[in-house]
Amino acid sequence: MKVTIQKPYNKNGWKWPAGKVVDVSNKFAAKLKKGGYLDKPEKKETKKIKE
Amino acid sequence: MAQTTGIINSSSIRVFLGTTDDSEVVIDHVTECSISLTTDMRDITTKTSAGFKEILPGLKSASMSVSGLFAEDATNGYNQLVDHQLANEKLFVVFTNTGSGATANTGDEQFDVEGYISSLEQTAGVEDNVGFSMTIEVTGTVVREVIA
Repeated sequence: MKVTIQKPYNKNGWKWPAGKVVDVSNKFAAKLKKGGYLDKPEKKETKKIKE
Repeated sequence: MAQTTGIINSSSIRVFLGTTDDSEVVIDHVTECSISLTTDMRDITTKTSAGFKEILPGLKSASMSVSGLFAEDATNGYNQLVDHQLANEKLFVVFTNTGSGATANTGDEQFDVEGYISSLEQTAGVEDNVGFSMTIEVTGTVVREVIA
């Protein structure tokens, strides 16, 4: 299944930057999800500056 | 997702591999793939076989063939495969049905095996695609499992 890597992955012979789309086996996808590699990084709230 | 009904489109069958179990990535630009299981037969014919050969199943083995197109920038293509072969690396291979390509077809069945590349060929003609073909010999058990 196609997944988008959300944080750099450098394990098991693979080296991918964040944003890389890879087609992985169902078990690898589960492993990546468990490791938090498929979770989108939380957006930092930016304070609006009142004019 | 339930098991797929009806005859499956062969383009849905994909081969994933990697050097660590459960870390398999699809082989890019594949045009054809096959897996073959063989059971050697033991001849147990004797004088009491009434003139007909009698057999019993013996050693089981499997091999996989994959053909595809060469791309220098493939995530998992010829360049990675030749490195695996030259390093004698054991590969973990999944031969599976990915359905429409977005998600694995849970409920269907797949092969999950380990093996080594026994042959890898790159071909280049005139004004044609550069291609590759590979054979993987399976070592150990051939696992046929339901995609979860």
